[in-house]
Amino acid sequence: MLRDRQEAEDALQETYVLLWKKADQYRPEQSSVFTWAVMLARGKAIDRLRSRQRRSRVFENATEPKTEPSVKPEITISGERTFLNETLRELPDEQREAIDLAFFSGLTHEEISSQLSQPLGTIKARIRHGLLKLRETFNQTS
Amino acid sequence: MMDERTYDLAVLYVFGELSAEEKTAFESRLYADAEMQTEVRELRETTGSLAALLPPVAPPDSVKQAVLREIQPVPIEQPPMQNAARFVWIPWAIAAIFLICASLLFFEWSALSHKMSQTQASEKFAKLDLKVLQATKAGTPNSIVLVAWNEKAQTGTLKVSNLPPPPANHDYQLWIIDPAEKAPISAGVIRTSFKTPKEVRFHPVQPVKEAANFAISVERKGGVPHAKGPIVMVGK
Repeated sequence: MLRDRQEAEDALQETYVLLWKKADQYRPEQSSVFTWAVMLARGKAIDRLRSRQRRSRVFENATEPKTEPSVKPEITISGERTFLNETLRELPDEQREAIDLAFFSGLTHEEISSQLSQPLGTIKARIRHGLLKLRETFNQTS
Repeated sequence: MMDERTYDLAVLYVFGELSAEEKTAFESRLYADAEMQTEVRELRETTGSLAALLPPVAPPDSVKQAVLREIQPVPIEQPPMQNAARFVWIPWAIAAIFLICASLLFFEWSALSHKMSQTQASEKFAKLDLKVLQATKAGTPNSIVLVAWNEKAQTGTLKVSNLPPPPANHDYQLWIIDPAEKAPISAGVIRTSFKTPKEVRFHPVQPVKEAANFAISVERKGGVPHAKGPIVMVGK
């Protein structure tokens, strides 16, 4: 997600500490422990992504004021995602792509809309349909 | 079933994209709607399960050491009449967090296409026993104590939340219920400020075969060898 091993390790460290500190705030009726941990970790990663993007904007504004700042992370799906892609292969490409960008790349729906040049409503619908299909698949496999 | 607009809002909520105001409004609806709560939980689980599809990556030892440095527990005080040998104490609780997180974040999980059997899952967690202690009728409502027990190291850490200070000339004392023993095993009195949640570590006065449960009683100052006072917290 962060595409930077050192930064990923820092985020992981923060997540571990957060898990320990917030253990008494875990609510089993809201999610499994696994999901709770994943969402905390994802939140930490996104904090860093957005911070990096802000820094990037400041830097680019300071050095190349006439250039539109690039805040769009790469869309390339890395080799590590092969496993994920196999599992998600039944989803239409556009749904898988939207979910991938939203969950693993930490893009907001607006950013995905901008990156894919699609209306926001279309992006929301793709994510919605994709997640509903995934839920159905997960329920079947479990 | 949520309508499309509500589902889209739920996605944004789960992804943490709602503003503080939107989040409050959404949660007020969520609080009042049990069906919506179920749907949101399922959505959250589906989303969270995506992470389990990624290949495992072992974190380096340096991360572990950094976390160990960051969360150092406060030692728990043993009653003076106890002569339990002090074990060489490794900050196991943090290591345990690593075990959990490593399991949670980096190993295949059972929820999706890779079915992990219940046996395998329980084996992964066998190294750490986590218990949530809740108030009994004799205790204070909303008090919560988290206990993490490392059977191999025979040590534990607990975290106190919303537990009021004990009555004058009394202490809270932690007990480990071991089915192999007739009486609960003392794990010492709990000395903390009680104002803010803190982690404290404990050692039982004798070896524990199986920590089936934990309890906290109110005992006279300094603790007692055998539980006498009212049990105010017990594991669920």
